[in-house]
Amino acid sequence: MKTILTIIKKEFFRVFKDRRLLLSLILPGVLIYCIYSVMGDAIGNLSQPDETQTYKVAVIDLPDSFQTTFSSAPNVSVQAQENNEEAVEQAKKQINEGSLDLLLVFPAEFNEDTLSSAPQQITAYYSEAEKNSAAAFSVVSALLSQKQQITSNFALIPADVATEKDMSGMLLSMVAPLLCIVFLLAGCMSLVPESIAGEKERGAFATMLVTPVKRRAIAFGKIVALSAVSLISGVCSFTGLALSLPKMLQSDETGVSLSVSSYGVTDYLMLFLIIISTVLVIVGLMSVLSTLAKSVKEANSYVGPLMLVVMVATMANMFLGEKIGAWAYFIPVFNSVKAMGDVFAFTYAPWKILATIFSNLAVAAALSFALAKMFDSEKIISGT
Amino acid sequence: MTENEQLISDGEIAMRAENLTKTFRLSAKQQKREKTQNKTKVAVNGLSFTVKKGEIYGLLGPNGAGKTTTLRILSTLIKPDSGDAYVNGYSVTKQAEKVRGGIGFLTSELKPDEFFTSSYLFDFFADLYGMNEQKRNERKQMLFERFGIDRFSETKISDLSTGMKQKVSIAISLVHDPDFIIFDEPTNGLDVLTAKTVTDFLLEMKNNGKTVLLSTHIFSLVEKICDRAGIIIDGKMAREGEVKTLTKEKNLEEVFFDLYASLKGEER
Repeated sequence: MKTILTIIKKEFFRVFKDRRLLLSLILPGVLIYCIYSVMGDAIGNLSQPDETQTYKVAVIDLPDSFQTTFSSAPNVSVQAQENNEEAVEQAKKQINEGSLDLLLVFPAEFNEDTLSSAPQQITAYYSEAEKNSAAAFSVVSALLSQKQQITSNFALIPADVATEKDMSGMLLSMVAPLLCIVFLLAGCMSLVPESIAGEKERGAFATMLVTPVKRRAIAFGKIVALSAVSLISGVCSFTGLALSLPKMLQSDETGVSLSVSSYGVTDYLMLFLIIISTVLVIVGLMSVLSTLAKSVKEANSYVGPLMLVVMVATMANMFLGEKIGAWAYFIPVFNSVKAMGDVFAFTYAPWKILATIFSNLAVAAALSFALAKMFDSEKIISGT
Repeated sequence: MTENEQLISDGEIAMRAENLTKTFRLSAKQQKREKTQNKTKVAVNGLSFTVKKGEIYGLLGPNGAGKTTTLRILSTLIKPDSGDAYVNGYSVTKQAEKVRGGIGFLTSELKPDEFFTSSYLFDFFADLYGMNEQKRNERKQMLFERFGIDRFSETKISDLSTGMKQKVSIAISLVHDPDFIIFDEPTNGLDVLTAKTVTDFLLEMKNNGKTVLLSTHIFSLVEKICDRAGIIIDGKMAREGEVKTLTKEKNLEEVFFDLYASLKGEER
């Protein structure tokens, strides 16, 4: 019994005397709280229509009895639309472009008789791929169901005008950036600590430092090589994902065709440039942390929380994307998720992509410079 | 004019340490281990010495005397708190890259990456030194044959014996044919045969006009191969001179213990 207690005491001593180990035990709890709080709030916000938003609703043949229904709703701006095929097509196009949120088409001769037994169809054209349009449909549905409690002479027929391309774009813009970052992080995590902290731990790193090679050449060479390998790892994972995504989302059943072929060469080029600049930043960050560490184990304990922080930023971006201003395109990694989302959703602005790439490259260069300085520090390299 | 000043004016100095001082901060664990309340330890304390061109100079001292720290300063891996050192006239603090280009440094803390083969690592370091392929291959053939590495050149370093690993480390440290060789405890942990290969090679280097600075705590090694030696105790130069002169009346071991006793008294 005494020996068991001795062993237990020793184990406790080991854990509670090691601040880093202790931190690695506590930190996940703190981060989980943060992640789930952000996610919970964000998902809550997503499911509720934005009260500050005014939805643009075009209406054809609006009956008098519905005038008050819409005028009493503060966040719905109704505009009358001509009743002809061309106008309807134009409105559908506007919905897909995001300049109009909803089109309501009432029957030309609406029977105001509230006791009419045959419900008359009111068609609501909206797009599931457009966040505001989908929200506008929810708001209008709610308004009309209130009216249905008084009269049952109509039925609302939803008509989703989103194209397959729009739908796959929206789905991919939600899922793919997050997965891209996760795969890149995983690729970097298995490489960087081993390559830098591992070499330091084994005494192999300092062998390069006694050669006349400049420290910045070593730093740059390490970052580029590790980025290239991490990129290969990330691309392999992402290809697997891209091929399996349609199956995973059961696109046959949902009627949504998820296809990477919806994207053109420019889209892929944009994604590639964003991903490369992102890998450079991630590898740079992990390299700095790995250089600070004395061993691979210590490096992993530093890199782990970084991974979680990046994940929090990624998720926050995923859910709060549209509420965040353009400044976000200048925040490394955070901007990558946003820019990738834009490319996947076919809504990217070139300056935003360029801002993302150049801010990431600038940060990667700064990290590479910092790394070179660290390689010159005997306190960091020799631990003295 | 002192001997040092004469040597400097004659351009005979290969390496020169001038009043080097280096202090390390002690962690709580190190304080406990060293049984001291001091938060710092003076590893090198105003150390000065000169190494002439074409000689083998031995830094002799017990563990913790400051030998390795001194060699690490000379190889530019760490910087002194004060003082400076020069290799071929280049300052280790101000012209570190030039110093690195001319020295071959070996210490137990620097190990070749065991994942690679000795041949690959030799080529890698040759590239870092900017050597052309022909020179690289000539040096590889010569050094690998000399140390018997050629049979294992394509074997992963992790699969080699301790002695062979040390030979690979030596070969890699000399890849660029440096004129100034700084070896820290080069025969430590080696069997007598491997140790002899190393000492013979150092003598061969000297005969080829190279300058060798080595640290050791093995008296017989200094007596056997060094032209001059400096005895370091507590980071200070306790005695320096030609080995022949130092051992005129007593052997080096006796000289060292007498010196140690006179400096440390009852602590011995």
